[in-house]
Amino acid sequence: MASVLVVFPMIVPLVAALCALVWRAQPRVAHGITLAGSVVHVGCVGVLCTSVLTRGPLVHQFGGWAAPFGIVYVADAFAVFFLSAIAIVSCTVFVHAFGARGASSWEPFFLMIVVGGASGAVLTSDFFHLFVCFEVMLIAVYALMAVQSVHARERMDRTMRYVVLNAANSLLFLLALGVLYGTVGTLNMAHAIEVGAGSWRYVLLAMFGVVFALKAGLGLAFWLPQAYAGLSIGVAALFAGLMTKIGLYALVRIGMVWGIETSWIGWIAVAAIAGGVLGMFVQRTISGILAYQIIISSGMLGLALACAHDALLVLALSDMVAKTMLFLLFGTVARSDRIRAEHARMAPMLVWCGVLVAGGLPPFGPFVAKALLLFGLVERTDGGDVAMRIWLIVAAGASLAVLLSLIRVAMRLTWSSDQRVHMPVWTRLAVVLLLVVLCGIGLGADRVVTYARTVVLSDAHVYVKTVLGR
Amino acid sequence: MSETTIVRTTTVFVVPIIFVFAMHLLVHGHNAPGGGFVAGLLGVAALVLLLFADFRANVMQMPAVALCCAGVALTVCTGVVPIFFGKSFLTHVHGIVSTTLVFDIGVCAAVCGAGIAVVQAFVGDEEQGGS
Repeated sequence: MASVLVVFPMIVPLVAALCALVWRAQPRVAHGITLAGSVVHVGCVGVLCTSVLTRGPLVHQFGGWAAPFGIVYVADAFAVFFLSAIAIVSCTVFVHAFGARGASSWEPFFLMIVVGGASGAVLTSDFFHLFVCFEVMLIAVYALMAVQSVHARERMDRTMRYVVLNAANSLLFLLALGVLYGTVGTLNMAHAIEVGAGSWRYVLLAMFGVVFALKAGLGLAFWLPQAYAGLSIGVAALFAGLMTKIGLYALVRIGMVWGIETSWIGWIAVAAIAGGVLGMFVQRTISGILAYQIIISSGMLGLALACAHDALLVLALSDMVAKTMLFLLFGTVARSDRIRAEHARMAPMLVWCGVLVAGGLPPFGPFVAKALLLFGLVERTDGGDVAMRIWLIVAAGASLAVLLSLIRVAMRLTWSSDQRVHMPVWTRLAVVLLLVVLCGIGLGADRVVTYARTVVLSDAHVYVKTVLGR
Repeated sequence: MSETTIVRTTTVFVVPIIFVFAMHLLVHGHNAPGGGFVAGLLGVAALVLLLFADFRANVMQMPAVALCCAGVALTVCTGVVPIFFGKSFLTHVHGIVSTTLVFDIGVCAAVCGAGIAVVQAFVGDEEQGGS
């Protein structure tokens, strides 16, 4: 049963989390366990990845129950692409966490649960299981927010807002599931494609769309900067890499099932980008600037979803890695608390590499992604489409704005000479690892792009055939 | 926390009933409404009642996290063990006793443990704040 491989990316983090819970009295041991578990996770994903790439998609039926009735995990090329990004990002976050002093003893446990939930959400082909995976992730996130940060009152305030918002969102998710089961009569994605939703399609699209747009920070991102401000470096880095992108992944799956409303998503994405840019320029703190960059990148991904599918995959992969790297790198300054960013000074090489990454300049991965997106938009403008021109201008302008804002940050960090911020060795190692990955994506762009083009997102027939076998 | 005589007296009668009903849900959960999760929640409810009665110290000393760990471990085992026999993840065997019962007991213990841990944390905080 080669297909058993598919469940391991979900089981391994759970087992590692369990072990971390058992040994939580010794934080070093717990962190060591989660780091080891994360390395095993990367290994599992690697094996799964090569298997899927060489022998085609794998399907695993829980308990041997076939697709429309049982829960099914599907590892197709698209899922595997996201899964590898999750594995890389989470592994480096655990490398950083291993070196972090004074972290709560609960932190490794909850971080691992987030990784397990994310892996499950990517692999599942069942809407209700998707809901469960999101809840698993969210509960761990609530706990991390409550455990983290210094100022109790402020922390509870932020956590409460996030909890209330997401509880409401989960309720809407549940309602949408009810409507889905009531009208279409199935919870399996492939079966839902096969049956079709008829006139209920728009209702379902709207409900699931709002749910996942809020999670992805696409358009509905008002909660995001607040939520990120109170987190510790590692947690913020993991969130930056995972949370919004998983929402986007679910959005793509919804699009696969009921079709994508291209122009809607495009305009929402453009609005998100514009709002993000405006918000970013108002910010004075580094963490604020970074938080708004997540909103901008969500918008970019939305734009890619609307009009350039090959860019979407490369953008998602490089953006997950890049955002985690930026949060790890600049988080050290932002959190080495109450030092005004103007007076801090830290590893200049890494900081300027960070600027290249965030601004989408060669030789790093985001450059390839951004180029693909812009070329995709340029191709579409040939027909004299005004909307496409506006989208193109906004996308290009936003990437310049991001570059500009980070150059300002980097100038402050490297050219003033007052206080040196010490960057822990493990964090430095994590950042360098991520830089190497980004560099690999940039230099091996040829292969990555070729691969991304073979993954056809919206080919529902292939998916149905894989899952249901007919 | 106010502990009236009424609460204390009824608790002694009500808690066993809740536990029995929880066991009923646990055992019947495979083919009927119920299951490990609900049984676990009921167990937590019963223990919270005990907290209001004279058994606060006992509840506070329960090894909640250990119970939770054991439950999760049991659940994961029922999922992973079939893999070694070449079956799918979470494949169950139905003999005299079905392995789904083992799974449900694991879920029940996990939910119960986590619930008690939460309650302990809240009550512990309150006691610290009060003193």
